[in-house]
Amino acid sequence: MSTVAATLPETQPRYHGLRDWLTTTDHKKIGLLYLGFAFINVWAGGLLAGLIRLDLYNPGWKIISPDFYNQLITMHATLMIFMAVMPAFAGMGNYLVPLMIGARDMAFPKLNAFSFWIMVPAALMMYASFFVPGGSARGGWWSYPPLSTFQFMGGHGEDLWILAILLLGISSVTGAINFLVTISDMRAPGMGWFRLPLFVWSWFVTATMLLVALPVLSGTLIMLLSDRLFGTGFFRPALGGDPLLYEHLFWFFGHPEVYIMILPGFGMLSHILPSLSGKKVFGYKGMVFALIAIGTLGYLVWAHHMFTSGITPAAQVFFSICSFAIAVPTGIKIYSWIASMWGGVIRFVTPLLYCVGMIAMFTFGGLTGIMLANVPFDILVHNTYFVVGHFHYVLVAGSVMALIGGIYFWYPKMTGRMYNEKLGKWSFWLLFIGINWVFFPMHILGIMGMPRRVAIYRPQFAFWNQFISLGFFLLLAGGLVFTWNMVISLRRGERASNDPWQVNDIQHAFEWTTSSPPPAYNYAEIPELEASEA
Amino acid sequence: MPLFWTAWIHPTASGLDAALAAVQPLHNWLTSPGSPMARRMRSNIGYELELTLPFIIAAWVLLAYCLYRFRRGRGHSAAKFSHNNKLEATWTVLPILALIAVMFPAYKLLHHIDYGPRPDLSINVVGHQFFWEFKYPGYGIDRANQALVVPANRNIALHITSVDVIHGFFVPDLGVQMDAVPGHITYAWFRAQPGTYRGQCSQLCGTLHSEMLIKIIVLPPEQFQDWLSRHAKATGSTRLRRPPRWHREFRAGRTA
Repeated sequence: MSTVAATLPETQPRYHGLRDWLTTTDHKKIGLLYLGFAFINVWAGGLLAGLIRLDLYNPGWKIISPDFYNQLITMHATLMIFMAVMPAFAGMGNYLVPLMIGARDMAFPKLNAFSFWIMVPAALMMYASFFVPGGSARGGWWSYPPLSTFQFMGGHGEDLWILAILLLGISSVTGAINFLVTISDMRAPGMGWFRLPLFVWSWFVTATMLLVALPVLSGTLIMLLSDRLFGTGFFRPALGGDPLLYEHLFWFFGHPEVYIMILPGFGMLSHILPSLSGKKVFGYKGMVFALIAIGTLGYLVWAHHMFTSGITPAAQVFFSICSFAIAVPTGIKIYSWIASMWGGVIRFVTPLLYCVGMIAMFTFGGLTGIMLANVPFDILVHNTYFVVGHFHYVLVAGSVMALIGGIYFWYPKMTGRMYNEKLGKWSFWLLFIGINWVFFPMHILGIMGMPRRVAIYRPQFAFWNQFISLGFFLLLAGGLVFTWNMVISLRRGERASNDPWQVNDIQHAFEWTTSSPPPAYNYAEIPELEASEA
Repeated sequence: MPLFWTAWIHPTASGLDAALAAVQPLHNWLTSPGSPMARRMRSNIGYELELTLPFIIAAWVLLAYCLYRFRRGRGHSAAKFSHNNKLEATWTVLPILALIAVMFPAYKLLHHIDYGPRPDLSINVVGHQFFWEFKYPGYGIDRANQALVVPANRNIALHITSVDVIHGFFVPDLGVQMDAVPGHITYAWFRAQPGTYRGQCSQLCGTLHSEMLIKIIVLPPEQFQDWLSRHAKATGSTRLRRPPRWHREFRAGRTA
């Protein structure tokens, strides 16, 4: 299509090299910038996890001071949630959504660049917070007052943390607007709502959730900042305020947040598993319904994080019912993915392994989730390692495995080169075994009564803590192999064709019709979906 | 392997102790529930697992079989189906029915946990950074950073608050967990056999959160009576009295 390129000078980048990357508004480059950003921060968050596991190796060790330990657990979660997982999915979404709907870019390319670049000062503030007197935020990533008020948490690390999250919130909301408008308005001719690829659907629901949830977090954190610095008493009992108000407001954001972190992963599975089985996805309409149901119900469960906070029995019952209910659409998706592979011709390549491993482990995370929805059981294990085990299963074994599967699957499209299959399989097995090694025993610790966020613990918890800490090295090895694969395949990987997975033989998928990587303008002619095509 | 590491690094837990601890964890609600309530909570989750595990195991078995049966290289070609209404309806409706069956007994138990029977003794629990304070209203007893001493086989009501940040009063063997929230008074109750039960703060509360331990000593009623006589101050009698009516009304109307 070089003739087209020659007649469309505006489609060529204006600058080259570093200047191009710094000023681009091309959704593909911005997607890669998001992924690079996430990559740096997942390693930083992993380093913090390593320090945590080091300190927990011995029951009585205080090689890390208790205050610094509290900073570690706070920042580990914060980095992973806000600066690794969310940007990574935003990156994949940015890269793929316009391609999948046959568009040339997002609806608002300059806003898109802004959404990315505003994360940089946020990251700088997060890292800077470690170096101010008093250290960084240390009240957990939920930052409950009164602990997070100035009287109990002096220094300005917490304030930097709040400001950083406010900037990240702006990034998320502007990004969400971009996704919603792009998906609504820029679909190719013939692509009605019920022919939208499922990854695009997952981003549509995720973007809606971001739009509703993030402003609540922002408002709440502004109230907290005001309590800290301007003497207000929103959450301070001495001034007539209420810490429980914060809990409700925070979790109103906090629960949809975790669905925001998984839904794009679900979307990816719905592409990868059928494609690598030579089939179309099973139960498309059920999958769409399930995405919408999860997105909606996700707003009705927040106080299941507060079952032991002193909420009324009626509230406990309501939130418990909704939390049980959300298992139904989730189950629909899990069974539909299996049915998507059933009867197919399954290729055991790296992306498939990651997605299958994800289903197996995420199902377990779902089981512990419906156990936690049961209030009498939650009373026994709330704020223990049982919960830590649960959410690491759904987040690491769930979201991260799906994400890496997606990165492998679309790697040839994004880079023009195939990744190394052997290294891919090694990375999968190291991570799969490592995840189960590290996070399964946490359920045992929780049942034994070990609370979370403790720097030292009673001796009976020693065995499993040591067992878990050793498993960290498997995760480290898996991460290193994955990283190595990503890096060397850029140079040594086999050149990829338009459609190395032959997706278009089964299912019409626009991104696999264009070159690998796509040209700056994606498609010389905007593709159309014929009425007869699926 | 880790057993040796345990012995080497942590001298007070030898390899054998650690191995035993791993296999038979000391005193927890699963292996040795410390109260009838903890026992019922255990039965409740057991019942839930009976109803929900089949769906989980079905998914795993189907997944494993699918990967085995339909792997490439068996010379078959891909099936073309992409939906099946009966199947989709089944895997929507059956889980709903199972979950409804789980919910009813769970909420019945929850009502018992939230309200409980008439208390025989009321304790005010106050969370501080970084210790627990126990007051016995009417007996003039105020113990800070010491064990909570209560009689066995009696209903003990806990009215819980905090003077600084949010803490969590957590004694899992007895099935008790309730946050101590400044500005609120929360409620929990238990009834236990004689023994010593341990817990710790479960809500991150600052620097020494890990060290805010809880010890509950449950004495046979006669021994508790002795203890009470020795510790109660001048005000009021040293005999166990039922709390006044307002306590019962209070604990039925919870906060937040």
